[in-house]
Amino acid sequence: MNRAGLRQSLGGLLDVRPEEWSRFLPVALAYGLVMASMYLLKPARNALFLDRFGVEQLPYVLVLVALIGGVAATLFARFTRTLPLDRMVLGTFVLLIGCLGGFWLLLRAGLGWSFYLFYIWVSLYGLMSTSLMWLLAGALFNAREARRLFGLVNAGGIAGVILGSLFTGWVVEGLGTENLLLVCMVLLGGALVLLYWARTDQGPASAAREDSGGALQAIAGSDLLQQLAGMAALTAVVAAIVDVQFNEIADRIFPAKDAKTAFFAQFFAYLNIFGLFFQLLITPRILRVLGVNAALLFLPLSMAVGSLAVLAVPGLLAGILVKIGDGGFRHSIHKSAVEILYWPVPAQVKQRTKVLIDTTVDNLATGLGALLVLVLANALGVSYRNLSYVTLVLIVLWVVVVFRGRSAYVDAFRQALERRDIDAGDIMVNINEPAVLKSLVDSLDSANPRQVIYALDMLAAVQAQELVAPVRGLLAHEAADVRRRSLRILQNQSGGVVLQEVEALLRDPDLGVRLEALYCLAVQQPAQRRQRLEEALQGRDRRVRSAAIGVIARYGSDDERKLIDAATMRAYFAGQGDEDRRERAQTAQLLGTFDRPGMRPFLKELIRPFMVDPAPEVVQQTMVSMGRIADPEYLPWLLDQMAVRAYRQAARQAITAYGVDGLGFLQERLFEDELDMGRRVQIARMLGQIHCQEAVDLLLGGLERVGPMLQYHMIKSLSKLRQPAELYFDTVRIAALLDRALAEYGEIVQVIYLIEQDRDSDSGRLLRRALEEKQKQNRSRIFRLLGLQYAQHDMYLAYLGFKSGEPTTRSSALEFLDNVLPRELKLRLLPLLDHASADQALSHGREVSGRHIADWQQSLEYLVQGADEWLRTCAIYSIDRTDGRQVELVRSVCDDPHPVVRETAVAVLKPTP
Amino acid sequence: MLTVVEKVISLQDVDIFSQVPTEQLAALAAIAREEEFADGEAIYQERDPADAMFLLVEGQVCLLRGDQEVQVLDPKDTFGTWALFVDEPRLFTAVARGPCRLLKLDKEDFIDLLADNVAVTQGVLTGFVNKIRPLLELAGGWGQ
Repeated sequence: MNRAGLRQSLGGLLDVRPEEWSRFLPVALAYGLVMASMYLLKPARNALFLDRFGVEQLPYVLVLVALIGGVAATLFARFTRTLPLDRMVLGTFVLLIGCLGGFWLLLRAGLGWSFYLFYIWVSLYGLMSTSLMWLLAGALFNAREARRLFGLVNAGGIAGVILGSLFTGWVVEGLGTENLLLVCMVLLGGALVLLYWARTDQGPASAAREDSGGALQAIAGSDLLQQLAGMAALTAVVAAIVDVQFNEIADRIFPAKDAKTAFFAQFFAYLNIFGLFFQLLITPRILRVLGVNAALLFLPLSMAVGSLAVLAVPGLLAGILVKIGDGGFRHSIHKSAVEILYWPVPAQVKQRTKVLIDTTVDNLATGLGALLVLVLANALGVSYRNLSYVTLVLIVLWVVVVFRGRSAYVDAFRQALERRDIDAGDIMVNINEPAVLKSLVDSLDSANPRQVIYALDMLAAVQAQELVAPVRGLLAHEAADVRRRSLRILQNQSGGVVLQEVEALLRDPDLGVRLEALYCLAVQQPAQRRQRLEEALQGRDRRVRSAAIGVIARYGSDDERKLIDAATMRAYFAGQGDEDRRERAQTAQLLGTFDRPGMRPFLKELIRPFMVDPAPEVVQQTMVSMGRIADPEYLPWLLDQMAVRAYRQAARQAITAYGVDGLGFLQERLFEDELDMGRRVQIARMLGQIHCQEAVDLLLGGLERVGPMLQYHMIKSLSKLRQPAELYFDTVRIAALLDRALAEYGEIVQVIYLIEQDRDSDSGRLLRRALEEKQKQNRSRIFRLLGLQYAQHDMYLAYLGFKSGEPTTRSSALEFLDNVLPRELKLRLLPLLDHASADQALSHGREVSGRHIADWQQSLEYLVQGADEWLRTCAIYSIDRTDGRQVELVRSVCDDPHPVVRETAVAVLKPTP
Repeated sequence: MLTVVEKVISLQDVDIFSQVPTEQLAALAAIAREEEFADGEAIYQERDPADAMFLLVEGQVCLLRGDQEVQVLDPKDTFGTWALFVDEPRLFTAVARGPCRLLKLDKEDFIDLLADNVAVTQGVLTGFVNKIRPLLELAGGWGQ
C-alpha cells in the first residue's frame, strides 16, 4: 500500500481528513514524545530526591512545589499572552532542552540544592510543556477539527506515558537514573523538530484573562461551586499525604536509586494502562448505571481502602493500594464525574471559576497537605503509617462533601433547567443520571410550554419506565408541539404506552401530531406495522390517510414506500379542493416528502394548483415543499415571490433549503446588473445561510465584481458562514480584500479632513454624514474581514469595544488588536483607527491608501468618479455651482448609469430661477 | 419635483429616521410621494383610517380636533407618524393653511421597506430606543 493509501485507510479508521494529516501527525507524535519524556523524568525525580534526602524532606519540597507552582502558573499564563505562539513554543522547548543538559551536569556533580531544584523544575516542566502543546494544538485546529482530533492527540499522549514509563523501567538499571535526562533531551529534540514542522503563524495565544476576585465571588455565591472547591481541596490534601506514604514505602523497599527509578517507572506505566482502560471501558458504564454520585465516591473510597491497607499490612502491596486510587481514578472516573457536576454552572461562571479551582485551590491544598505531613511527622513524630488515620478522617469529610455536592448539583440543575441554560446535545450521554432525570420529569409539569418542550427535547432519546406516566399526561396538552414531542418519546418506550390514547390522536387537527401518533402505533406494534399503514392509507378518513403518507415519507422503509404510487397520491389529492385552508396547507406540506425517481413529473402536476392557492399559508407550505424537492425549475418563481410580503420569508427559506443545488441560479442573479439592488442584497444574505464550501467560494470569488454596497452584504454573509469554523476561507484573497478596504478607508479619511463645505448648509451636512456613515461601514467591513482571517469572536468583541464610544473600552480594543495582529497589518490599521490630529490622519490616510489627495477639488474628483453611488450623489449635490471646475466635473457624469446620480447631476446643472 | 437627494435631506431630520443611514434614506425617499394641497383642503379627516405619515416641505398645515385648532405645523414638521406603526384611526383632521407641499410615506410601502431593508429597520428601532431611553432613565428603569 502506498503512503497516500495508508493515510486514507488510517484516516477512515481514525477520522482524520487528508488535509489534516500534516498537522495532526506531528502534533500527536510530539505530544507522545513530551509525555514520554515526562514519565522518564517523574520516576527519576522521585528516585533521585528520595535517594539523596529520604522521605523526611519530601513534604518540604511538596510545599515548595505548591508555592512556586502557583506563582509560576500565573506568570507563565501571562507570558504566553505576550509572545507569538510559534516563538513561544519553540523557544520554550529549546530552553527546556538546555535546562535538561544543565541538570544532567548538576546532578552528576551531586550538589544538594540541585536535587531540590530538579524536583520543582520537573513539576513545572509538566505544566509548561503540556499547556504549550495544547495551546499550539488549539491554534492549529479549528473547533470542528478539535472535537474530532483532540481525543486522538490525547491518545498519542497516553501512548507516550505508557511507553515512556515502560522504557524507563527496562533501561534505567543499565543506563543510570541521571542519564535518563539525556534520553529526555533527545525526545524533546524530536518534539521540537515536529513542532517546527507543524508551526502556525498565529499571534499570541488569546487566553481569557482570569479575574480571581470575580471567580471567588462566584464561588462564594454558589453552593455547588463551594462543594466543588471543597472537594478539590480535600482531594489534593489527601493525595499529598498519600503521595508521601507511597514514596516512603518505595524508598524503604527499594534502597538502590536505579531500582527505585525502575519501580516508579513500571508502577506509573501499569497505573496509566489501568487508568486508560478504566476510563474507556468502565467509567461510562458506572456513570450510566450508578450515576455521578457513585462515580464521585470511587476515589475517596479507594484511597480509604489504601489507607486501611497501610495500617493493616505495611508493605509494598499497601503502597501500591494507597497510590492506585490517586493514580488510577483521579484523572479518569473522578475527573469525568466532577466535569458533570459543572454542567448546571452557567458557561461564563464556569470559565471564571474552573481555572481557579483546578489550579490555585489544587496547588494550595497540596501545599497544605505537605505542611500537615511536616507538622505531624517531622514535628510531632507521628509515623508515616499512622498518617492514614488523618487521611481516613479527611476522607469521611470528603464523602460528606460529595453528598452535599450532589444535592447542590440537583438544585443548580433545576435552576439551569428553568433558565434553559443546558444544551440538549450535551446532556444526552448522561441523562440517565437519576437526579437529572427527576429534574427533567419535574419540568414536564411546568405551566410554561417552552420549558416543557425544552425538557421533552432533552428526554427525546431516553428509555425509562418512569417517563411513560408523566409523558402520557401531555398527550392532551394544548400545544401541538408538546403533543408531537410526547409521542416521539413514547415511541422509544418499551412498555406502558396506552395505545387507545395514542389512537385517539390520529384525528388530531395537527398533521405532525397525527403522523407521530401513527408512527408510535407502528413502532409499538411492529408485527402489525405494515398492515396498519396499509389500512391507514386506504381508509376513508383523510386525516389518517395524510398521517400515513407522512409516516411513510418520513420513516418508511423502501418496501413501505412502494405502497405510495401515483394512483394513491392521485386518489388522496383528488378531493383536496373541498377542504379548509388548514387541511390544504398540511397537504401542501406533504408534497415535499415525495420526491422519488419517477414521481417528479407527477409531483409537478400536483404542485401547480397549490402555487396559486388563494390562501397564503397553502402557498407558503408549497414553498417549503419546493425547498425539499429542490427542483431548479422553481427557483425563478420563488425569487419572484420574494417581492410579495406574505411569501417573502417562506420563499427565502425554500431557496436556502436548495443548498448547493440552488447556488448556480443564485450566482447568476447575484451578478446580474439589471436586477434591482434590493433583490441582489437578499440573494447575498441567502448565500450566508447556505452553509457549504461552494457558497464561501462563490461569495469570496465575487467580491471584486460588485459595488461597495453589495460587497458589504456579501462580506456579512461570509462572516455568518465562518461560524462554526469548518469551511475553508482563502486567506490570500481575504488579505488582498483587507488591503483594499484599508486603502479605501485611508482615502475617505483624507476626504473627511479636507472637506470645505459649510457644516450648516443642507448639502454640506448631508455629505459629511454620508462620509461618516461610509467610514462606519468600512470599519465594519475591515473588522469582518479580520474575523475571516483571525479568531472571529475576538475580532467582533474588538469591533464592539472600538465603536462603543467609551474611551477605556476603545483603547482596550486597540490594545488587543495591537497584541493579536501581525506587525505589518497593525502598522497599517491602528494609526488609521487611532490618530491624534488631522495632520496625522491625513498622513496615515495617504500612507495606507498609497494615494495623495491634496485638496478639496481632488477630493471631489475622487468622490464623483468613485464606485460608490451614494457618495457620488452627495458629492455632486454639494458642489459650488459658481466654481467652473466643479461644474465641469458634474457635467462629466450627466449620463451616469445610476438613476439617482444622473437625476442629481441634472438638477445641479439646471440654472437656478 | 423634489429629487431623491432633496427628499433625503428632508427625511434625515425626522425623529424616527434620524438614525437611518442616509444611503438607506434614499430607499425611503424613493417610496415617499410628493403631494400638493390647496388652501383649506383636507389632507385627512379625524377618524379616517391611518394609512400614511406626512412631512411638510412647504407651507403650513393645521391640525384640528373637531372644530378646535390644536397645532399649526411649519416646514420640516411631520404629522400622522403613528400611522406607520399602529392601526388606530386618525385623532385629528389635517387641513392645508395656504398652498402646501408634502412628502407622503405610505404605511404599506414603509412596512415592505422595513421587511426588505434591515439597515432601515435597525435605524428606525435605534431612533425609537433613543427616544424612549431618556424617559426610562427618568423612571430609573434603564438597563433593568
